[in-house]
Amino acid sequence: MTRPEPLRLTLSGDTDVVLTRQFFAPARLVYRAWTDATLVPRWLGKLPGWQMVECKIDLREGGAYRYVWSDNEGHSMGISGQFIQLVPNQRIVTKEVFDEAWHEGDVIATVELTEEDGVTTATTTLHYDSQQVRDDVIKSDVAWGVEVSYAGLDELIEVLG
Amino acid sequence: MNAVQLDLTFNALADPTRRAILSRLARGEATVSELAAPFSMSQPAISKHLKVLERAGLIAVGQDAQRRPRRLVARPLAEANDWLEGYRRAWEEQFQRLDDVLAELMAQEALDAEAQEGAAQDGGSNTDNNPKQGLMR
Repeated sequence: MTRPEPLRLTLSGDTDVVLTRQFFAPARLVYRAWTDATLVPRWLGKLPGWQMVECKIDLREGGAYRYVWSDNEGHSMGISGQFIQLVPNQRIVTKEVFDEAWHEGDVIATVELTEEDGVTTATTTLHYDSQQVRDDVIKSDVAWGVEVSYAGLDELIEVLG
Repeated sequence: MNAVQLDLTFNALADPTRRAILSRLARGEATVSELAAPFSMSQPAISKHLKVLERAGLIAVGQDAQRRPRRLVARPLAEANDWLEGYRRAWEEQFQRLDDVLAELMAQEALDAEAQEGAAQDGGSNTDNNPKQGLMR
């Protein structure tokens, strides 16, 4: 199966990160994969070698969710969140916080789904309390050991413009 | 990667005027007055921004001793870009797993639809036990 276009990442303003990605599936399935407690553990989580071991979702506005990941050496990491807004198959707005308060404040994540010809574009906006927090989060994500590759200066200029 | 340099780079990039200056310099070197021209800012104000960029190692003064043009130094920007790329890739990896989940959901839906169609066809051929079909005749 052909892969969709790679994810596009932009830093928006001082406090936001915007991620845009296409999926070869209708919006209702993308929404389901994003909100169903049996499906979320199969893909959510950025750390290689970590598994989601707890996933509880109370899917309603004001409802809570809880995700816990652990690695083979007994380390674990959790997120507690709340659904702020839910528009089925279109929009998910959440507010979440990590168990270990290694950065200040919450993250507000907005996922917008738009479907065209069976292809769904998901635009995720992550809003942090300050630029410092946002940049620290990005730095720590990179420190999680993800392989780094060179992507070209032009793109950065464009991204930052 | 050097964390101090990274902080310097990103602090320098935090300001829209400085980003615009870098974009301008990406197209070729320019003097301070040329750089100041598009902005409603005094030359001293622009010079302040240039100093921040210079301290971060993002720009350097060119060869011409009289005009003292500024030019872009690509390396720290490329390093900052690498850093962003690592972050982007972490997200891409999980979205590729989501691709697989979605492909499976779609395959399952297609199977279910086929099974339903099959069941409907079976029902249709068995006309004797189908009261609706009986009525239509």
